[in-house]
Amino acid sequence: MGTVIVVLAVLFFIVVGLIMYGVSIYNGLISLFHNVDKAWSNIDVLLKQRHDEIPKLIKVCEGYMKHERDTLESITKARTSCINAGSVGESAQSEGMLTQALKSLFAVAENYPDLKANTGFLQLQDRVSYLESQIADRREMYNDSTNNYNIRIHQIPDMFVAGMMNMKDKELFKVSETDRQDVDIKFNFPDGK
Amino acid sequence: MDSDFEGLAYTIILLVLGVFGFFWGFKRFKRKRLIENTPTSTIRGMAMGLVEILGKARKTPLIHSPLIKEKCVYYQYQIEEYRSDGEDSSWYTLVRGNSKNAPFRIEDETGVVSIIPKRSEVVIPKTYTLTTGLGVSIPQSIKQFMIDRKIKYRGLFGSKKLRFTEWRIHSEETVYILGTAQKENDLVNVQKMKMDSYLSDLATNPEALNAIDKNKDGDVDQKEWDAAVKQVEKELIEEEGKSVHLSQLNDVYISWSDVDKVFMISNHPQKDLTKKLFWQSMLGIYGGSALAVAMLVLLLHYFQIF
Repeated sequence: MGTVIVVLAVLFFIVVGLIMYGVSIYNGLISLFHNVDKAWSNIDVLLKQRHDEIPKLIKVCEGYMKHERDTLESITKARTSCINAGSVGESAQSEGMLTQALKSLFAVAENYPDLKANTGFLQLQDRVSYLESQIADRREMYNDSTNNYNIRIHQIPDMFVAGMMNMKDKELFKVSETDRQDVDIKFNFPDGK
Repeated sequence: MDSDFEGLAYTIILLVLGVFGFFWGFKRFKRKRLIENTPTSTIRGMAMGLVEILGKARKTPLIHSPLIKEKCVYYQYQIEEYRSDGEDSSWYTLVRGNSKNAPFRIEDETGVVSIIPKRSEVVIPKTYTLTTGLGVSIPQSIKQFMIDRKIKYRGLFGSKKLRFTEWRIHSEETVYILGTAQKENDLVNVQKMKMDSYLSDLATNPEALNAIDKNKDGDVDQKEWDAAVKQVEKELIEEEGKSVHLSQLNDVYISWSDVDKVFMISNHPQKDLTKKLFWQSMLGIYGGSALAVAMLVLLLHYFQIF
């Protein structure tokens, strides 16, 4: 009788232990999965804020940069393609284009002292630059979350649970080669210089 | 007390402790995984919700630790007395305390954020420990502390055997935080409150109602009201856009939240912290279950079932 009770107690700890371990793996994978989505939403919030600032920025610049139509148009185009982007990859590509276009705008703006003295422009420039930095930080966070998730679903014993849940690798937010290059600035001086 | 009954009581207590330790071990394991699964954020890139950050501890002005009066950003202390009644002897806590009500800041290369340590689990090593005894006297600062709090350091037969322990986080120390980032002025609530106030003003102001009565029939219908609400919303968004500035992180702080229920502060490197949690979980799961089974055997033996 005593031996049966002891064996049952040992079995209790083994079974409960295994169940709790399985539950912790399952919950861990679920939280990793949602961490990636959350990290992406956190980037998305900032991207939307940046998109909202761009029309204001263009409006301020238009008055001063009459000869930089191409630069301003490239920002508008990049913004539109960002809004229409679907996947993480598409988003990364169009956001890269927008970042490049904004860099060009701020570089060209150096040549317009009146614009540089405009408080509205300076505030918008600060705000957009700050948002850019925040986006870069959150992009890193997103990639860390994705990486954690991608590693975990291939590790033993998590891979067995991940397999049962049909979990697949998630896409990283990769910055394209062109976005890493320096901005090519072309000034369109009125006198053709 | 009958020694048999005392033994039985201890066995039952240890059995309960073993079962508790087993479940506690899983809790520590869950915490370890949470730390591993949460990526470290920069302060600038931090979003509201559960965050993990790493940065230098700062506080202006610094506070003084209560026992040895050293400047720090956070402290914990404990004073224990050794009591012996012949058979049983152990350390009893006379007083303990901490500075969990005093916020401090964490700074990294991207920004600064306030930390409100209330309800946090602080994992830091001891920075000061002293046990009084032969040839070891109590430092003056501690004596003063005890006098202020009316704690006796002398017994009937001379000095008591006391142990003083202090834990501190110093300024400029690298600190790991896992907690919930929150905004002092929650933007959504502020916007909602503003919206309610605008709309109630609108509903009670005849001139404003006349202005939104587009067809001038003397009555504001649902369509006209919806259009007015949309206009107010638009104005609020524009207003919010103008008010957002670079110091927007000023009203963000990290603290305990009833949603995430995790708040850790530590000056250990993250790797050491997870290692510590791993050993705690192993001790709890294996040690707890082994203790429970052993106590069960003793219990069955006591009742002559085994």
